[in-house]
Amino acid sequence: MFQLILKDILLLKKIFLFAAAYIIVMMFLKEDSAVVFFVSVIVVTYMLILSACAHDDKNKADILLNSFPLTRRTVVMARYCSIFVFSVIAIMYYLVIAHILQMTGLSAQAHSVSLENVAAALCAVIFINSVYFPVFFKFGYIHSRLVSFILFFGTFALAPAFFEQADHPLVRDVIHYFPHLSEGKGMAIVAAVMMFLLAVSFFFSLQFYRKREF
Amino acid sequence: MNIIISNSSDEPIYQQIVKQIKNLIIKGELAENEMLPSIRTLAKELQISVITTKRAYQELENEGYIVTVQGKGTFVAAQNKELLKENQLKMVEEKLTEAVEAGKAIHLTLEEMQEILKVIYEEG
Amino acid sequence: MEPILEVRNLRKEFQGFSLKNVSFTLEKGYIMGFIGPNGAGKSTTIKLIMNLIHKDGGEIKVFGLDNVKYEKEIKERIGFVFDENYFYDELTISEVKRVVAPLYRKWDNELFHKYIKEFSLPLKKKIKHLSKGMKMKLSLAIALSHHAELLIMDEPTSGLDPVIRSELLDILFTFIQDENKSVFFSTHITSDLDKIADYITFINDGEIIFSCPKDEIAENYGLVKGPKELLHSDIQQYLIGVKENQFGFEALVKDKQKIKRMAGDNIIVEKPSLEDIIVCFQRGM
Repeated sequence: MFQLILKDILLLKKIFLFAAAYIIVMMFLKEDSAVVFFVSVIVVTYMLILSACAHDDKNKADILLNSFPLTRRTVVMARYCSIFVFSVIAIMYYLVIAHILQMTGLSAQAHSVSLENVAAALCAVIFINSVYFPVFFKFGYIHSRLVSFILFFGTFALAPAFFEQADHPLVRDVIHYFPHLSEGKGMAIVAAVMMFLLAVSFFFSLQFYRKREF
Repeated sequence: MNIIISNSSDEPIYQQIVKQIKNLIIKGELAENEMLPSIRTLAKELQISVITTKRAYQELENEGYIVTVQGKGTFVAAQNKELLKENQLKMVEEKLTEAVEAGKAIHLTLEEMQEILKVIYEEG
Repeated sequence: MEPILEVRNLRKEFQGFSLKNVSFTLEKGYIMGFIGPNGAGKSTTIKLIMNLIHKDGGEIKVFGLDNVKYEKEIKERIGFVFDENYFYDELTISEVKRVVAPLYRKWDNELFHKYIKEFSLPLKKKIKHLSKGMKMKLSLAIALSHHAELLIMDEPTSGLDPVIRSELLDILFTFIQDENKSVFFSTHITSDLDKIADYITFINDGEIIFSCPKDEIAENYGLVKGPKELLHSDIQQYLIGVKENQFGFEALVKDKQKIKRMAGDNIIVEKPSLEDIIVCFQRGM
């Protein structure tokens, strides 16, 4: 399975450069470091995952990988692992670039990142891909592009809308719930929900991919 | 050892091989106990199916010309000396029959034929 | 000794086409050519063996193991060479090796480099810059480097020039020197098989027409050429794929000895090439 992730990384060399450029530009464009971080991580992870899927589609990976001693389960598992691998890479990128910019004095602000920021970004990434992957595994890359597009832009459209509805009782409860919990407990609950979401998503992805015929 | 096969001949390839190896043995070009190439090597060199070479060797073995030793290879069988001589004589007879028929066709006499035979024999 | 590949009563239904009762067996140490016109079911059969599609009925066993249950074990021991895409375009040959090698338990790095040298493959070049022939050789190099026992090849020579095709045959001949290894070679370029195949399995319209040693085909099947009058005689029922021209007809027969006895001097019977057989069967009875 790690070989499959290695394969993705080897293929995405160009994207890594583009990602760095993107982050730098974002840092100069926006002031709110939390927002910059959130958006950067989601966008970079999105770019990496989707490019990897595009490469697979272009090179008929379904047939190619099938000829190796790899089960379809491994193939699906590798995609899910890549969510974490790529988002960690995106986060690292961000931190390194922020650090460099700060050291060289190019940037006025300190782009610091809190644990909540990381958690929020991870949640968004996990959410987006948990919905995307089952569609991807059922219909293939080309027919799931629309879904990924909607998910991606939907997240950015919804997030501000979510915060604008701060007066709505349910939203207020959700927003107030978390800070009131002890940090560990809040994190644990969120983590559990996300894991559950991933597990359900994985289950469906696996079923769909296993049934597919090439 | 030379084996040349024709793909376009009507004669099945395995038979061509059988004939040629038989000839080599009768002529003495393949000595007793000499090792023959494996069926796979032969197939590869001649660019033919291994089933064909297998069949050829099978027939040669059935007729007693070669023998296969498990794990060691295929060898020219210890030839029954009389049988070998007999086969060699048969070959000479066949060739002479051809020559006689050719001679009779142009009306050569026995003496004329013997003359020709003498010259050729002493030449070679 | 169990066969290396065994297909029994394989069934697969699509809209408008189905694979019916496909059965054949390949023993260790032989090369089987899998031939048939386009659309006959060659690719479908291979996809079923490779588990790219799911069968509706029947059994497929590789190395005596069920091809679905033991998919991973089987794929450790087979090499697959196919005609279309080979590897990721953007990777170099060494990168491909880096990704693929650890997937196999029996990977032999030294052997891989030996083949790279033998086939003159440039390690630092990207796949997309390789010619079709080089891509095919890379597939082979990889297949051979993990000591594959069975090579499954799906139209490996289409689009390749005769020189490379001949080189491929040489490689296969060497491969088959080990009598525990086999090759299953699907193609519609039958001239390649005329030389190298030990067995021929012919599929047409989803059904196996015959599966037998190649020599037997030449001994039994015949290409009959004769006067048109004979088309109305007894032998008509035995003629496959009749082609008439102004001066006579040409057709395939399964039992040439029989037809020779029936028609005697009126006909010429020639050795059919594999191509003749495919063409006549496609023309129909």
